[in-house]
Amino acid sequence: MTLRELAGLIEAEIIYGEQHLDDEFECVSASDLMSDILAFGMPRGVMLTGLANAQSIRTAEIIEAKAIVYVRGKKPGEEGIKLARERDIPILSTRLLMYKACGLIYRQEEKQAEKVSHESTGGTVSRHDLSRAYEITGRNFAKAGSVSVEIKQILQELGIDPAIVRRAAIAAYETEMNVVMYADRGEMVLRLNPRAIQITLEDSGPGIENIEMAMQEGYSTASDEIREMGFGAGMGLHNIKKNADVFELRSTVGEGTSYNIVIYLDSTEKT
Amino acid sequence: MTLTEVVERLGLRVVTPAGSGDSKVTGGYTGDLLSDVMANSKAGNLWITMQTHQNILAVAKLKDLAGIVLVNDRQPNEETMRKADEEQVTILSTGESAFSISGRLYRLLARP
Repeated sequence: MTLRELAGLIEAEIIYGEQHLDDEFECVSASDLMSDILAFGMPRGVMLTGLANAQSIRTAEIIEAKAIVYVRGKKPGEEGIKLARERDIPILSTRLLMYKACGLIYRQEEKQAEKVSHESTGGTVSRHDLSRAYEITGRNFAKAGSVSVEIKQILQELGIDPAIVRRAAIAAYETEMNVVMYADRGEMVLRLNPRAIQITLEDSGPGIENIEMAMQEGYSTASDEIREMGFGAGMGLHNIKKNADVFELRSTVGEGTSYNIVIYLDSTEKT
Repeated sequence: MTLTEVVERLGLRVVTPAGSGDSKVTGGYTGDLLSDVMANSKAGNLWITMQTHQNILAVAKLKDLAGIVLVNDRQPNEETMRKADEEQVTILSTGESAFSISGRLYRLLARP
């Protein structure tokens, strides 16, 4: 289905992205929780959400969504529209509720039974050893996600397999968000060698009391404020683990937490 | 259509069977923000969400929802399950995404 057909189907207003209306999308993810979209959203898909903040646009960029559709008549603010324009992510807004929008799109997809197949193209640009450090500030929700987006762009420009870039971007993003949500500050370091991508992070903050529990899906100590932003559903650490080949977490209560994430460039190398 | 029929037709797993299976499903409501569901869902709606926090029970109860469907194989914790039994709220679960289970419920209920 093209974005144009989609817009007609759910009577959506096009806020940005007229030039992309003939683009096809392949799947839909529907959620108000950004962690859920990061965990289950697919590239080249359309993201349906009722959460119209800047994080929704950064999330769309990380998962490589074709477009964002805001339901319930929600629209991002000027800042969000500016970000969408910068990142070139089409945004649409419909007055329909999430449920009905899903229903109509699902029915239409069933009608168009023909599946679109796609081939992934692997790049072979030579990679030099690389190391970059980034400062992340706790509670700065306006900038949250920007480090991960930068890391993703670097990896993309190096021609790394898009599936691997995506995994690294998701792991980086969840790590970055953890600093923003819970810690005072943190330093993230991206390292790349011909074999692997490594992302490490040291934060200063409250630390994690019970790592085993924190790793469980659904466990969260997030405040209501964080939850309303679509985070804090207890998916973050689980999401990192799911996307990393190696994930080590160490924490001292009252001091901080350190993350070590490794993703092998050759996915057959998984230990 | 009754909740029991919907459960059978969509192949949902029953996690807490406390609520009434005879209650009529009037439609669906898909969303993960409790304040949104509180504001916009209608009595008898089957609520599709990935939220498993025990606060979902109060929303389901206050809005007289038919039940809650947890998507992507999410499981409520024991505290939520215990409270669901106490408050007589039916929790169901599915391995499907919110989009696909919403689509299938919509299709099922749209049929005459």
